[in-house]
Amino acid sequence: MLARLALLGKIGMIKFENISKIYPPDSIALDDVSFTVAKNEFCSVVGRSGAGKSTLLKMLIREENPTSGKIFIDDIEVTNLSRKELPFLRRKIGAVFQDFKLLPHKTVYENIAFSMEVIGIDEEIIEADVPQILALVGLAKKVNLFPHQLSGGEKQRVGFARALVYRPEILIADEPTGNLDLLNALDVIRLLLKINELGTTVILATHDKTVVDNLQKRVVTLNDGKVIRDVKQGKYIL
Amino acid sequence: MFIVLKRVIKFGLVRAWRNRMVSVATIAVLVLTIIVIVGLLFFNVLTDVVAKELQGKVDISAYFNIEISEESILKVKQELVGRDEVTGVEYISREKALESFREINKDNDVIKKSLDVLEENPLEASLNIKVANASQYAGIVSFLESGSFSGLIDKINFRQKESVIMKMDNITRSVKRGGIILSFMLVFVAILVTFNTIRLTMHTAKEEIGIMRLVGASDWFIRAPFIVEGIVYGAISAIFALGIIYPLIWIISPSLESFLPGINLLDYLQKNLFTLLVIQFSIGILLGVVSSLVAIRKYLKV
Repeated sequence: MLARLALLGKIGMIKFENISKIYPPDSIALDDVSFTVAKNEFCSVVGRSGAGKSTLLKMLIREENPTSGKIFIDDIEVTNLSRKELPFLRRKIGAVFQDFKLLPHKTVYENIAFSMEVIGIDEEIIEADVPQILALVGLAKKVNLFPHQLSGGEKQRVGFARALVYRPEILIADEPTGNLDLLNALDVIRLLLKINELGTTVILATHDKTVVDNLQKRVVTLNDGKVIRDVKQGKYIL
Repeated sequence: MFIVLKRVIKFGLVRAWRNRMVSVATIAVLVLTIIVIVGLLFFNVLTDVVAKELQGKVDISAYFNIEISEESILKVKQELVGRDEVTGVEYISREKALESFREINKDNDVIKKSLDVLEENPLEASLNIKVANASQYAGIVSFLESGSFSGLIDKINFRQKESVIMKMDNITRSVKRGGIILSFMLVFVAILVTFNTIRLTMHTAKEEIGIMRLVGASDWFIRAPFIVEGIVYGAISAIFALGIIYPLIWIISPSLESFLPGINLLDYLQKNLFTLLVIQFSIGILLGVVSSLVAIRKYLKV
């Protein structure tokens, strides 16, 4: 209950504390990972496929749970939230998923509106904000299409629009450029930087060297489930 | 609160419409289930009526010795009427018995002449007794034979009728019991089929439900549209089922009445239309909603 109240306020700082994840019987995805992301920071988590980046991000919205260790957002112990409290956490964190996770039976407009509707935002605000965010990601003409009628890049942008529309204080993006060509990828990165400048903590998981090198922001490098490098203005080095 | 309600209702309706092929299949199965259940209901009403009809044709008569006064016989009648299982007692006096005997045999000269020769009325007064259930006759007989009335009674025609009465009782019992067992089996199968159809329908929602959870929807915000969907399926099915049942009964009712007189299904349907509608809506909506809820429960884990 206290956690739920705390989730109503502003949040921003993320702390991973000795996080380990072991998939039975003995596949180690993360091994004692600890680091902190400050409020309004832009942090890239890089590493090869299977290094544990996605798992780490998924834990932040409790799509997965760590085998051991704790995750804090400000004073809230994320790893200790009850099922009933999870929606309140998830409404605070915008998430862009590697596999998009769009609702298949809802149009582009409805997909984005849905994440505002679950919070109980008024219809007028939704009707004003959704076209605006769709214009921002360049999908103004696709509002009434269904996900299966979109290309991979377009789905990715719908995912972005959905994650941003309710102005989350934390944004996690899992391989958002994975399906995009270089130009589109750089657009996405510019968008992420813009969001970060407006006061959102951003965690980006990627294995795209060009993207990381262009960012000039903090880079946490994972290898075999361990943090092997943590540099303030880093590059992609393995 | 109102805005949430409005949203989940809209979501449910939109979902049902966009999945209309699946919705049609679900509604078809629900319609069948409702028809089966209502059909069995009618069947049980029918067997009840037939059984009552048959039992109404059976009675036993207790004949009193000639010297017994009418007053004493009426006392016995009073006693019998007071018993719960007795549905009717008719007193037939000696005079009346003779009268109807004459009436029956008015074309038989021998009997006519014989009766004229007799100075006294040879017939005994009797009580015609009907009970609710054929199996209760034995109890009445032993009550009459063993009680203080045993001296008054000459004979009871139960013994001659006993085998017929028992056989009839057995048949109506087995028809009823068989009907109930059959009903339960059919209803069970129908519910199982419906439940499975809806479960398959909801399987397509597995991915959706996971995503909804991840973008911060609460359990009830996810569940409610499915409940709405279930209500819509149930209500539409109930209406369709009535649209099939009503004309069907309208067609078969006259021919049924011709060989089972006293049974008017159409009349019964019209008199109980409202109850029937309530039953159909309840079955449809309950099945739709409960199956939906059970089906999506396991997808809500995320």
